[in-house]
Amino acid sequence: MDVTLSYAAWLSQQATDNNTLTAIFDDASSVLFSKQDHETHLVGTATEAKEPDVD
Amino acid sequence: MTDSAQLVPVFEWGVNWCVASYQHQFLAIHAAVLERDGKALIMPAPPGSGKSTLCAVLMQEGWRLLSDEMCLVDLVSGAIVPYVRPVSLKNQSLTLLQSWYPQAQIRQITAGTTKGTVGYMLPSALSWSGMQQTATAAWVIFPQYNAAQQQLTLSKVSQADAFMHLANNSFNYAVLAEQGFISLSRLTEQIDAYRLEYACIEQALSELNKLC
Repeated sequence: MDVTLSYAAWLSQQATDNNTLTAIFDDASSVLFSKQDHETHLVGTATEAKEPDVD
Repeated sequence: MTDSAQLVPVFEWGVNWCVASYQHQFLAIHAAVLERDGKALIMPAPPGSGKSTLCAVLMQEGWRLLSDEMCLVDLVSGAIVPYVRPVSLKNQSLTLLQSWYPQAQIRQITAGTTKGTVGYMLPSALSWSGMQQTATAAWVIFPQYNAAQQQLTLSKVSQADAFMHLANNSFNYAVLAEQGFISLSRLTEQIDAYRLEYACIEQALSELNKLC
């Protein structure tokens, strides 16, 4: 039973990891992209990228 | 439309809208782009920041214009693809450019548009001849003209902050989703980014020539 639960937890972790892309730059700053909700965030903040209007 | 003089500004807006809305083989960023020695200088900025004025000056000083309005990043190669067309200048910027560069060809000056008086500076011969030649992203400058600025300031911007600003200035980042993130990450890895606040165009030009 424990083995089954562990495997389920591992699957869940994989799903989480596969849903997020991370870019780490040379200056050590980084950004995350969620494949699930298509939001982009600076690591450590809640800033979100949005599509601007065409002016 | 009731005034035929508005035709060119409306046409310009329409062309930009078509590119931004349908050319999704590119990541399209609202920015001026110029090139020197194969390296691209990208200047994303909102209207009123002095982006087009600075772009026109750099072109007159020998930089090759790729676009004054849209930075097109090839999703496959990552190269910056030229979108050469006349530089759109407005109001006081028109008068200043005419006085600084009397030889520059500015056409279709139209008063009374929604953006005020608009005119179009023709691209330089170098810019036309290189219109098929891509460039590699090297610098991103966020310019801000501020008449009250005592001293020019040039401050480094982290790559992640630059990424977020570029994403927010993109027309189709949200449409491209994962592809947009990957493309912009690759571009951001290649660039140094700065915020430039200036009151004097000569100082801004001198600083950019030192930096790039």
